[in-house]
Amino acid sequence: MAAALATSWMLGAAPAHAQVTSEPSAVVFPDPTKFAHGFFTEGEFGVLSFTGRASAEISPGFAVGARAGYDIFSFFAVQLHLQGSTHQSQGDTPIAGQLLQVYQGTVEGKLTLRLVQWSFFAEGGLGAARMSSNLLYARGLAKYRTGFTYGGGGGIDYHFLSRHFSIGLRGDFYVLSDVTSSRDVSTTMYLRYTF
Amino acid sequence: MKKHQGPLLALAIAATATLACQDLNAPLYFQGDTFEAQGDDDPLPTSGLTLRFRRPTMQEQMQLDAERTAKGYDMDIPWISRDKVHVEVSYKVTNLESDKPGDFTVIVDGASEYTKYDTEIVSAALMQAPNDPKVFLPLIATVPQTLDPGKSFSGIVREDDFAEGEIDMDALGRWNDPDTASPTFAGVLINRSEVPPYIGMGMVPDYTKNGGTITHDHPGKLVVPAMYEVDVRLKTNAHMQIEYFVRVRDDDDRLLHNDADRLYEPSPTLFQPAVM
Repeated sequence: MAAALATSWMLGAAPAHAQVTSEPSAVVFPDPTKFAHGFFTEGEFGVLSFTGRASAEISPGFAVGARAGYDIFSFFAVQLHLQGSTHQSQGDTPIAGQLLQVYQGTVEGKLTLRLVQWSFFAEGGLGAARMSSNLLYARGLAKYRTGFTYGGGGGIDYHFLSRHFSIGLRGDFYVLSDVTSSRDVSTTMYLRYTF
Repeated sequence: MKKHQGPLLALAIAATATLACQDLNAPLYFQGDTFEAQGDDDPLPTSGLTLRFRRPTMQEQMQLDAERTAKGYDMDIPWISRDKVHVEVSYKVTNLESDKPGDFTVIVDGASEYTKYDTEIVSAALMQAPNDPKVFLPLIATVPQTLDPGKSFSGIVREDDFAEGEIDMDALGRWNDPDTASPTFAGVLINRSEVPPYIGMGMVPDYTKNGGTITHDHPGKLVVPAMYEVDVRLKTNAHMQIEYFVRVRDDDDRLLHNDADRLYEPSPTLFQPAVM
């Protein structure tokens, strides 16, 4: 009798079923319309190199910069760009190895194509470039330390699930009108915050 | 990430960029005339470069006058001073011989707003007889180098080399010790001014001369004039060429940039050694 009682729960038990023991993971489909839109700022760092005649005189250098702008439409923005980079003179000259900083300030327009979290953009603008010293003048490549610059570039942007943040990679090509036959090319990574 | 960290991060990067972009105290470069030496030249081939400075404004002149009063020694405070104007020379010497190595030394003389030093003039003054070999006592000289045919050597006469040359020149010019028992001017040039026994520096305000002993007990009291004229000479025994640039850091924007400013035109006195 006791044995029958002891095993009765086994014999009379209902069939076992699988149990859900954790919450299903959320499947997120980001809605780009929920990303922040309007005033934004960016901080960037990367490399700036020269092409043309200045490339023989000035080495590529580390660049840092910032942008502030406003998304007028979802596909178009205007932005102010400030960038500084530091370089060394090079070549077979007595002043090889000297430091030179280049500062650039431009006003730019930017067109964006957004694909959910990714976007591709093209931008262009004009402004001024200033050299920290007259090194290029001393080498016969520039008459003034400050000159007009114009150009553009493009890049790719990845928006986090956060409403405000994105990161990206861009390349820009700018003509230095006051440096003989010379341009600069910058490749930078940036972090963007849209308010 | 918290709500306000984003703009702060962007602001921090922008601030870093701004700080990195400061071109305060950036140097300016002036190219001197390239010249050649044929080897064992007499006189030494030379090329000079005179830096152009603006005149002090009335307010700046008043500050110089006030500093003179505060310093308490009876000499002007230089407008082109060593603590505001930092000079350096970058040079490249090339041996133009096709099959012969050669030795060379780069000699740098020049002038402050009070004194001019010329190695050739000093050398001529030191000659006892017309056919005596020349003795060179340059204000600043590089270490002699040997160059193979067709090879080049690049070097720098640094700011601290100029700093030493500038105090030596001022010691010889404005603060010359007329005491015949004192060592000759050569001692000033050969010895470093901050190293005992401070030869020839006894009259300089930074130092105190007590009998035969000189002590350096007021460092920084003298405002040392900087060189505004840089004269480069090439002393060599082979056919060589020198290219050079003068690099200037101008802390207080005293170089002449603006046409509205007036040129500062000092009249330095040529140093002539007493015959030894």
